[in-house]
Amino acid sequence: MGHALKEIWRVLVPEGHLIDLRPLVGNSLIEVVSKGQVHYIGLVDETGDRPDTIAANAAVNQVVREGWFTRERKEVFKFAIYWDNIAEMKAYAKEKWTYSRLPEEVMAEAQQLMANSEAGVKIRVRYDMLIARYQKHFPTKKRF
Amino acid sequence: MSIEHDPEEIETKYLHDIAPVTKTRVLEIGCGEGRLTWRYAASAGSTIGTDLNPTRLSTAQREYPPTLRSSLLFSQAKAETLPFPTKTFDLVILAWSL
Repeated sequence: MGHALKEIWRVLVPEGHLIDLRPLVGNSLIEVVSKGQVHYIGLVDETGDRPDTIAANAAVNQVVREGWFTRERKEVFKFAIYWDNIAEMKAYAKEKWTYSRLPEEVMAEAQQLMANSEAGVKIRVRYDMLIARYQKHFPTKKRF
Repeated sequence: MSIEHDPEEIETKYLHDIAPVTKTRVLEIGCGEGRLTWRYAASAGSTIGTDLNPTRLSTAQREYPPTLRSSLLFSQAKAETLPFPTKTFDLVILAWSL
């Protein structure tokens, strides 16, 4: 990750900007939505993703600490992905997720709730998304 | 497969609020199939979307709007060895990639 940030710094113009946009782990909600009502079912198991998140945060904090970038702004917002049914959600997770898991007991409860809901019911995952803006700077001492 | 990403467009609102995209030269790292790219590229001066996955890039290249064809390119590249000259871009977007 440090190498990637070094390359990003290189291709940016002086005072150019970097946007870091990624999901945060630990609070990704699984919810069933029906006729505007939201039923919280459980959390995605993101235990396996924690090391990568910690490493990403550390890499960014290091380049800021060393003066290569300054952080100008940081926000967190909710980002949702919706599926019409659990089978499609599971297929997506199998294709896209490296470490995250849909807990079986949570999905069983979701399945039952969806089966008893009216037409148009959807299932979603809502992530906490980080968006941060950094500006390129020139540190006093070059360490890359 | 029926899947909707951010139909509330919250990500788009935050991106336009925080990222100085308008008329800038943008590099998006981790563009995938272009889902995020479509949300800002029309405002940018020019955009290059990169990803490691050739299948996803093929999808992006198949699906991108004709109105963006003169200002948007997709390219397979690694973030650690970007194939661009120094000081090329005003804005780099690291999308779900760090």
